[in-house]
Amino acid sequence: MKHVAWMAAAFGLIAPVCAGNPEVSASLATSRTPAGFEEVRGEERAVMTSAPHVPPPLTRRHATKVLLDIEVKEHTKLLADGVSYTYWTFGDDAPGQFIRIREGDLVQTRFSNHPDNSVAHNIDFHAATGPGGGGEASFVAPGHSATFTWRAVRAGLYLYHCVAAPAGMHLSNGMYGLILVEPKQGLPKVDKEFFIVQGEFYTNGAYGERGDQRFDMAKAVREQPEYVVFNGHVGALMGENALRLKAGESLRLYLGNAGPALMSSFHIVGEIFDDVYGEGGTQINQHNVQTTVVPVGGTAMVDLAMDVPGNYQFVDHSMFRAFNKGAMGALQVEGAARPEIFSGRQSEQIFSPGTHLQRVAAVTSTNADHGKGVYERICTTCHQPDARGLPGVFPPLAGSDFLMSDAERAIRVLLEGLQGPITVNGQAFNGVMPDFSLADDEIASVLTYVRSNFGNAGSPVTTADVQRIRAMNRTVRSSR
Amino acid sequence: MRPSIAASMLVLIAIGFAQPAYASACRAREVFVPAGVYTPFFKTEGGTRWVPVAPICLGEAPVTNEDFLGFIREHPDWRKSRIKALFAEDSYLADWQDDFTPQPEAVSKPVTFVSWFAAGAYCEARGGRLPTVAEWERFAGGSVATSQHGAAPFAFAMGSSAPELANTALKFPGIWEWTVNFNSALVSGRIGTSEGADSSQFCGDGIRAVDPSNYGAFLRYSFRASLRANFALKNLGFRCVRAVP
Amino acid sequence: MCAGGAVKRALKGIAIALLAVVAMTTRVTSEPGERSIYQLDSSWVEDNGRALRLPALEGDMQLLALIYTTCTGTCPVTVKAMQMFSRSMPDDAKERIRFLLVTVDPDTDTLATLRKYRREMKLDRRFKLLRGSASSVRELAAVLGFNYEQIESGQFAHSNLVTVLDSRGEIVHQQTDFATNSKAVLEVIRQHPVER
Repeated sequence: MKHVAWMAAAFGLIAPVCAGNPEVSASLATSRTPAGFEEVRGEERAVMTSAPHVPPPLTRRHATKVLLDIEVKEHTKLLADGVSYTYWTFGDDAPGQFIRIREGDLVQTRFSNHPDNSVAHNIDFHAATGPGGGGEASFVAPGHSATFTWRAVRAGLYLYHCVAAPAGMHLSNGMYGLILVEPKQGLPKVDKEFFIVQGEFYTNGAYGERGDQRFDMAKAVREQPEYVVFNGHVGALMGENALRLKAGESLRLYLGNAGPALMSSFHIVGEIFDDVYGEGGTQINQHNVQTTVVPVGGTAMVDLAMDVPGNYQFVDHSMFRAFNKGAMGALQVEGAARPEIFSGRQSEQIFSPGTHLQRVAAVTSTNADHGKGVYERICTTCHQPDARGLPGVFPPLAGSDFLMSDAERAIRVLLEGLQGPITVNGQAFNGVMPDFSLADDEIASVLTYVRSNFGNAGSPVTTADVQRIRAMNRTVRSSR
Repeated sequence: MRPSIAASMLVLIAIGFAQPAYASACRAREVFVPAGVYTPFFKTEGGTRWVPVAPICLGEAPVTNEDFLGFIREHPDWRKSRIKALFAEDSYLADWQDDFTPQPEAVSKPVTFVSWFAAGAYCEARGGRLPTVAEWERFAGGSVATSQHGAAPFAFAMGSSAPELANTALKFPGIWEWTVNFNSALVSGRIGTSEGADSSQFCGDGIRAVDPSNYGAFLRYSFRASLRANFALKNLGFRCVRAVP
Repeated sequence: MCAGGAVKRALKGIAIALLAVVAMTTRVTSEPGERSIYQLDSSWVEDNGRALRLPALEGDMQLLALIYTTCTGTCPVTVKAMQMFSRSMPDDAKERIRFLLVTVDPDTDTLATLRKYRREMKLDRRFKLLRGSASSVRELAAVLGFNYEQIESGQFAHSNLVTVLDSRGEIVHQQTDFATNSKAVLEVIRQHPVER
C-alpha cells in the first residue's frame, strides 16, 4: 500500500474513492436542461430544522441544486416518562428534520447508514417520482452511504420515511419526517409555522410501563399500538414544549401522519381551521373545518388565526388515542382577552328544577313505554292507533267496557286469543283475534298501557298476574 | 405435500436417524447438525419449497479475533495493510490496533469488520467453508430476537428452531454472520412486501414470503441484500461449516 | 485469491506507470489495480472449449451479464439488447468493448448448450460465453453485486444487472435496465480512454 501511496502523492493523483458501485454519469448531474424543466441555477445545502420548527419561507425565485445529507442513527431515547425505546431515526430524533425546498429543485441526496447501526436502511421521499421514491437507490448496509438525485417535480407537503423490509417496523421505530416543496410562487405568508407528525409505537409492554420497551410485531400486525404520539414522544408538544404564539397571529400547521396503521382526525379543541390544504396538496380545498383527516403516509396543511388567548389542546379525535395513548399536544396563545368572541364562564348558579318524575299511579312495576311499544307494534293494525277499532269489525279499546270490567279475562284473551260473538259498548262483534305469543311481561305492559290510556283509567296488570293466569290455563288444559 | 417431497423428506429423516455415527466426525468446538430440510423464507409460484440440507459440522460459536489472528499469521496476505480493496473495504479489521494486534479485551470475542472473502479464506484454510443461507437459517433463524437496552446491534438470531439442535452448545453472541451465498437474497431495497422482489430488478417475480409477520427473517434477508462481498462491518462476523464425509 | 506472480506484478507496474502518464489528461479514478475483479483469478472455459483465466480479459472494456440459457424471463431481452448494441455501436466504441456472458447454471449449460445458444441468439465474435464452477460463479457474482438463487431445478431468480468493466477490470458502470437504456453505456465507453 505504502509505495502506491507515495506514487500517488508524487504524481499528484487525486483519487476520489469509488466505494463499490460508481455514480451513474446521468444527464441529471450536468447543467444541461432537459426540455420541459425549469433551469437549475447554482447549488446550496438543504435547509433543515428540528421539530417542531420549520425553516423560513424560501426567498429565491429559481430552481437550484439542493445538497441534502441525511443520516440514520439507531439509539435509545425516552418514549415517555420512564419508558425507553430503541429509536431508528433520520438525524437525531423522530420525526426527522423538516426539509424545505422549491418546486423544480434538483435534490442530490446522500443517504448514510451509521456504522454502529444494526440493519440496512433506505429512504423513500414521497416528493420524488421514480422507483421506490429512492428506496432502491438508497438501500445501504451500516457504514455505507449512497447518493442519488431526484427532481422535485411537484409542489406540496410530503412524508419521507424508511422503506427497508419490513417497512412497518422501520416506520414504527421512528423513521419518518416531512419535506415541503414550495410552489414556485411560494405559499401565502403567515406569522407562525410549526410541524406536527403523528406516529405509533408498538411496545411489548403496555402504555406507560416503565423500563426498556421493545418492538412487538404481533401488535403491529393487529394495528393495536400502545402509543400514538405527536412528534415522536409522549408530551413532545405539551407543557413547556407547547407551541407558542400570540393571539391574532396567523398560524400554519404542517401535519404529517407516519402511521403505520391509523389515520388521524386532527382537531384543535376550541378552534376552527380557516383554510385546509387537504392531503398536503397545493390548493386550499376547504374552509371552516373543525377536524381534518391526515391519511397514513400522508399530510395536510391548515391555516388559522387563533384570536382568543389560552391553552388549547390538539388531538387525534379518536379519543382513546388522545387520552390513553398520547395523541395530544398543546398550543399556548398569549394575548388580551376577547370577550366578544368567547366570554369564558360568566356566572354559576344552583340548578334545582324539581323532580321530573311524575307520579303516575298506573305505572308501577311495568314499563309504560314498553307497553306503548308493544301496542304500536302489535295492536294498532286492528284496534287502530287511537284505540277506537273499526266499527263492526274490530272492537274499540278506548273506553271499552269489555276490556275494563275484567282484567283477568283481558289477560286470557292475550294468552289464548278470542273468537265468537261479544258485545263491546253495546255493539256486537264476531271476529277472530289470534294468540300473538307474547311474553308475560309484554302482556302485562301492553294491558297496563291500554288500561291507563285512551280515556281508560284502570288498574295496572303485573307480570305476576299474567304468570298466574298462564299457569292456571295450563292446569286447566292438562286436566281436561 | 407431493409424494416426491414426502419421499425425500422420509429419506432425509431416515438419514437423520442414522446420524449418530457421524457426530464423532466433528471436532472440538463444533456441533453436529444432522440432515434435514429447510423452508426458504420466500416461496415461488410453485408454492412452498423444501431445500434439503446435508449434515454438517458447524462451529459452535463465531470465529474469534484470536482465531482470526492465527489465520493471518499463517496467511499474511490477509493482513489489513496488505489487503486489496476488491477483497475488503477500508474498514477491514478497523478495531484491530495493527496488522497483528486485535483489541486485548476482544481477543475471545467474535471477529467482525471482516469481508466475505476474508471469512471464506479463513474457512477454506481450516478445511471448511461458510454456511449456505439454508444451513444458517436452519440452525440460527429460529425465534426473533429483541434488542438489548442501549446496545447495538440487535441479536437477531437467538437459536435454532430445529428440534434436533435443542440443547446444543450453539452460541449466538448477537452479530450477523456471513453466508456463502448471501447474494441470493432477492429483497430489493424497497418496501419488503410479501412479494419481496421488484420484477424489473429481479427476474423470477412472484416470489412471496412464507410468513410476512416473521420480521426477524425480513430483517436478515434485507440485511443480506445490502451486503457486498468486500464489506467489513462492525456487527458482521462469521462461523464455518465442514461437510461431513 | 490474492494471486501475485512476478509477471503479474510487472504488468501491474507497467500499467501503473502508464496510468500515471495519462493521468494528467484523462479522468482518474482510484489507485490502479486495487479494484480490478480480475484479481479473482478464477478459471473458466469458453463455449469453444478454450480455457480462460479472468486476468486474460485485461485490455478491453467488457460489458458483462450473468444469465442462463433456459431463462424465459429477462435474460433473452438483455442478451438481445446486448447483441443489437454490438451491431449498432459507432466505430469509435466498437473496438474498445467486448461482451461477456457468464452462465449461473453450469450444470445445464454445457459447452454444447452454450454454442447452440450463441447460434440461436446470433452472437458475434465480440461475445464470449463462459462456463465455470459454481463457486467461481458465486464469487464473481458477489463481487459484482449480482444476486441469484436456484428456485427450482434449472430455474433461477436473479437480478438484471449488467456491468461495464474498464480495461483494467474495474467496475465503472452498472445498470438494471440495459434493455431499455443502452445510451448510458455508450457514454461510459466514450469516457474511458484506451489503455493498451
